Amino acid sequence: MKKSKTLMNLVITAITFVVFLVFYLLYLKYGFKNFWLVYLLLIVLIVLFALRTQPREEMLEVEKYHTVTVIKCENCDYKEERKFQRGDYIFKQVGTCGKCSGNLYIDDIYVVPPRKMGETKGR
Amino acid sequence: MQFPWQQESWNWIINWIWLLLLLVYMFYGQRLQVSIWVRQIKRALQKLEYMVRKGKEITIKAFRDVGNSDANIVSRINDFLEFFMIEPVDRDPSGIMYKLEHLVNVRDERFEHIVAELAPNVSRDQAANLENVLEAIIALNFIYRIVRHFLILGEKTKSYILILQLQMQLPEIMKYANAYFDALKAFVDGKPIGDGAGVLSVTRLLREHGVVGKEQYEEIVKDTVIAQTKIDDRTVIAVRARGPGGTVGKPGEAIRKLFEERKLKIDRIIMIDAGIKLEGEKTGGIMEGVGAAIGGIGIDKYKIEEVATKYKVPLDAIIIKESIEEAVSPMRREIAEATRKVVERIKRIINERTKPGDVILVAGIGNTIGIGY
Repeated sequence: MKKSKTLMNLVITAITFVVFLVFYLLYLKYGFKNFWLVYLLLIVLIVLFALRTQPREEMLEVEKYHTVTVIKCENCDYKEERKFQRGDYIFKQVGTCGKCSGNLYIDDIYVVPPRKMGETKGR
Repeated sequence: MQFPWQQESWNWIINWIWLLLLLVYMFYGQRLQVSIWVRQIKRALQKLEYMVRKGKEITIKAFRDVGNSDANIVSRINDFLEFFMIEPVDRDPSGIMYKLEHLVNVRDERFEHIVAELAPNVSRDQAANLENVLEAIIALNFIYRIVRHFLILGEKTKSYILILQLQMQLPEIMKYANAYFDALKAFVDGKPIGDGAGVLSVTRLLREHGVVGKEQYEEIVKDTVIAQTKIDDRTVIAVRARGPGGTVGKPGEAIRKLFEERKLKIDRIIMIDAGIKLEGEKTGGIMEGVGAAIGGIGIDKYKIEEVATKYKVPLDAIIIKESIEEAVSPMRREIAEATRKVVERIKRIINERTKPGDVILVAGIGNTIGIGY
């Protein structure tokens, strides 16, 4: 977003430069004196730049991240990731392991961007 | 002589317009700029207003969810939103830390009291979380009031400088406001926040060495617990705040008590805290140094430095890098992963800088919300 804005500003600057150059060449070659056109163009460009440099407020993101709860077994390598539920806290005992009957506990709770959030998985 | 209207085509009209624009810009340019800034500040203020309104709704819902159906809850919370603490006079700084501690204790009691009043049937952990919710909404409301104050003052006095300063600081202010808004939601749900990284690291270390479960900890001072274990023939005493409710405890008082009242001969103190990350640095990076790694108002830091100096105990500090917004927002994956690396770092310090038989104090500093034992 930021890059495209910079690119657009560069394009506007380049067009301005070219237009002024054309007017200057017209003046040199044919004695073209209707500079009001140049002034008008300048005013339009100033307004355009002023509008473009106004920062656009980002919309308020209410939920930016997903919170993941990582459950592990105390005895084996069982690991499960699921969405955070109210009442979860790190090191909470959450039942017994289906593989080895060991204690399952919450090993981690952290936030990840939405695109990184996978489906509930076990291994 | 040629009059303007005798000049070719429209040139003279445009010349006058141009001159007029130049004059307008000369005399009113600054005012135009100020009005653009005022518009930006107003837009930010609207956003802040929304956050405060939404935050209040979340807070009220949090209290209603734990069984409060009192119709006065809205007015009680509204009254509490402007709660403040006046810091003690610092022109005579002698003993100021104890005056400050007294005021902080009184302030904490007020928070406990209002939560007990509005949510009488909740557990100690839930009450601690609700206290954090109130603190977050108060902080958010304070930001909103300050921005509104300077905007109105700037407009009233037509002060270019006031508006300029406010506009310049707006990105930073909005960053903090967003962080507090995120924190508010995290506190309601009881999610761990970035600030808990120090506590989480120490708890992981203890669990690796057999200290598992609440019953193995002792509450040495209010909201602060200690536990003991053996690592490579050294005695390790760990200090952290009580969890999984959101508290920061009183690690300074706990460490002072271990030295002064329990008369323990401690050979080294290792402190772990989440610290300020500089721009351009990676979140979750770990750095090591010396000194009391603890933020806040300074009471705990003062007490730890006092005993460490008195008993000539070396202080090691481990910092998990994170920004202020990350510290008050739900814990990010990078920070959670860093806590495992910190455990290894603590073990390395214990091995390299202490000898068998030594007593080492490891203090995990931070908010324990969402972090059990």
